[in-house]
Amino acid sequence: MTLTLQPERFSFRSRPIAVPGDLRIEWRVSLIVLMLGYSRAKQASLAKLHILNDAIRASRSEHLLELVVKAKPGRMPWTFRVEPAFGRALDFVVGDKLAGWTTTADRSALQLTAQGVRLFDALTRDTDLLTSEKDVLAKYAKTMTETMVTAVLSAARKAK
Amino acid sequence: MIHISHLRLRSITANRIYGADMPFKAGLNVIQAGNTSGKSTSLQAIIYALGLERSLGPQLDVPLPYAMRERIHPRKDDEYELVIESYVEIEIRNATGQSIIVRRDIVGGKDRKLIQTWAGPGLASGGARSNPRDFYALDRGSAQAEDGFYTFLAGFIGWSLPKVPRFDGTESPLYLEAIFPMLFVEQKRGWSTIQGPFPTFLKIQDVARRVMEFLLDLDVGKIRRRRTELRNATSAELVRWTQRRAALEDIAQRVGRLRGIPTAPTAEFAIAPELRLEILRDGEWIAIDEAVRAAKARVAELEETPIEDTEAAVPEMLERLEVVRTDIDRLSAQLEALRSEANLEEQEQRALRARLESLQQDLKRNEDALKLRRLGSDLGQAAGEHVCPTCHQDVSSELLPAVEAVGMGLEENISFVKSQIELYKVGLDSANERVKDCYARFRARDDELREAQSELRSLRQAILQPSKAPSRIVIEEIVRLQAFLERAMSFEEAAIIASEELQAIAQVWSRLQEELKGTPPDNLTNNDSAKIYALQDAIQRRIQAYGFRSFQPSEIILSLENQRPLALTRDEEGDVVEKEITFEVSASDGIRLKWAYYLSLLQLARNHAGLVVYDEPGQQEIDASSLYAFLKDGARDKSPGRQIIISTSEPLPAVKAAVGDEANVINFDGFILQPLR
Repeated sequence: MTLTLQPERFSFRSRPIAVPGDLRIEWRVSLIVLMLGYSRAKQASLAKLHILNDAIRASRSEHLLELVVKAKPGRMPWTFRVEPAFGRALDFVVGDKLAGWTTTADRSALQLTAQGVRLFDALTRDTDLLTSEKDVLAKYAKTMTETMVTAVLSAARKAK
Repeated sequence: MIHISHLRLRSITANRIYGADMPFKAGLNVIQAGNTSGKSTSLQAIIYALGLERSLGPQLDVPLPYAMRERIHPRKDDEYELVIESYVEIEIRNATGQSIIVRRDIVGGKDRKLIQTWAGPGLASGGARSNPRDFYALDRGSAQAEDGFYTFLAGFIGWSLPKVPRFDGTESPLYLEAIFPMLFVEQKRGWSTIQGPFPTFLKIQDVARRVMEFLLDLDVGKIRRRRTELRNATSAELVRWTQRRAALEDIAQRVGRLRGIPTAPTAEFAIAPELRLEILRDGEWIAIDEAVRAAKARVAELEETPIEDTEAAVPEMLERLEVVRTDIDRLSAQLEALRSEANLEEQEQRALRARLESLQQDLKRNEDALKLRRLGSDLGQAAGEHVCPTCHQDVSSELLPAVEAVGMGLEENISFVKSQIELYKVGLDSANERVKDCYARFRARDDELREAQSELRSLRQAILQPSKAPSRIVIEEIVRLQAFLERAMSFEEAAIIASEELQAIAQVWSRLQEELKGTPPDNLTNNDSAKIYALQDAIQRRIQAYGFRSFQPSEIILSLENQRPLALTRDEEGDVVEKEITFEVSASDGIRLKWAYYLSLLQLARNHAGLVVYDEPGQQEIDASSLYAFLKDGARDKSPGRQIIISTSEPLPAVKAAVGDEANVINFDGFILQPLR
């Protein structure tokens, strides 16, 4: 038996992999625009955006939002997660000039540009898009103040 | 059919009674008078008396001018007097020759929501009225309740109004207010469109289409209606089936398990239902009949056996005791195994459910992402074009952390998730089935165990009995067997009743399915098309006679969808295309088309009320010659079932010349409301 010295060549081609819907750029960018759009003055601190993001991605922490908005500060057993993909999406939002950097309550924050407001209007007009997300945001984004955000952050710090 | 025989207006001040009386006839009636003399008042009073003012708009205000509401004077330069009381009365007649008087107060009298009627004699002849009835209008239920005026009026006209879908998903009758804009052209808004304008506050879907389907009596509307009814009935049967099935399954679980009832009714079940109850015996599911037969045979056998006394039976009993003990041990072990199996299955079930849930959410998000693509460049470069806005590199990896991976295309991803959902659903279904099965087996083993335990107890007691006493073993076995037989019988009875009921449901369901299959598609039938084309021909002929110039009359066609007029034109490539009429024809030709449309509809629509009212058709400074051609055309129709009422401020001699003796011309100088002597 002779061994082939030169084995036949194999080639591999990488196949596209399934992407969870929340890692789609269009979905996430729209979500961020909605978060900002529903907030007061169309602006929100990075911390607040992360909190909203965590609440929406995992419906498990959605009821925690209710606690944040309604309960007394310091009673929130919530260590929210910071998601790297969200940071990337934020960069896209800023890069596309849908929102610009600013500060609010001594925290770096984002505020929708005119272009961003236009997109927000288009998104809210379409009633069969992002419906459950809009429900949550319409309810909590506006009522959650930066003071409440501080409360969540300090509670998280204490918990550790 | 409804014809107006007489109109009476009364406006009463402290000093005198102002009033107007107008007799109308079948055929053409022309009210001729100068501007601001009260022509529109008279026509709107008809609408008001019939409680249909909301067909002009949703506001509940009285659509009548101040002479009927606040202040009035006999001539332009006289002093105003305050109106204390005012009302409208009309006499209407229907196809059966029935004639009634309708009265509605405006100020100072009864509530405006109240409409009173009397049976003759006519308003012109006067005399004592008989058979008074009170109806309410404008309120909830006035189109459906017995004493609602619209119910009465629809009945009087001879209409049975179809149910139509509304925007909120409910159904309502096709309200009279929706139909009347096709009979009554009001002066201020009525001339703005060819059909209608229809009121929107009724929230009826496709209102133009529904009204035209009704007036032209098209089959397509009836077919659609029937299909909806059949669908609703089908789903009601399905609900009944599911409930009945669940109830039976509940009973079955106490004995064994039920087989042979599909989750939804089937045609097969309707013809030959096959229902099986199975019970677990020695680890095998057997038909209940078989178990019953075996139990009965055993009872017979035991009853034959002479009852031994205890002493003689002891050796046998001791032997049996050993067997039962082993049985109990075996069964306990099996039960334990089954319990953990059920736990595992349940865990699997839960995991599948959670997986399905997150897949559904993922699908929704991916689908949202796909829809968001519609927004295109509004989303920005990153999301819209998948190019990084800063470095302009491709971002096909979406937001994935791994740099080397390439994300699936959205459409592909969606179908990928969908196929997973499908797979997991099947998995969940079979997991549900397995869990159920597990519990059925568990219950059966549990029963066996309990039986064995009680046998063990009775054996022990029997061995301890005085040695001459009769042995209890046999008797107790008979009692146990009979208890089982009783349970089995009562279940069988329940199953027979349920099976009959289920079969009846399945039969109804099959019939509904059959009829649903037999219902023709929602297309116009040949009959329908013929009606629409006839209407189209009539309109084309009329606009030609009225001096329509924007298009060749043959280029005006009716949409097959809701019969609105369309214009046939050529596009840049020379192809014939249908265009909306609004911007294609001149304003005056729009008016001509409206005259022709309503008159042709009066002539041809089978469900037409036989009445058309045009308030001031001389709109848009239209040629007098066109208007006279229209009047002449209206006067020509001598059919007794049709009545046309037109108001105009064209000079009287010209009007008379146009209509000759063929029309009932009512004319007056100055204001129509004058002090009565």
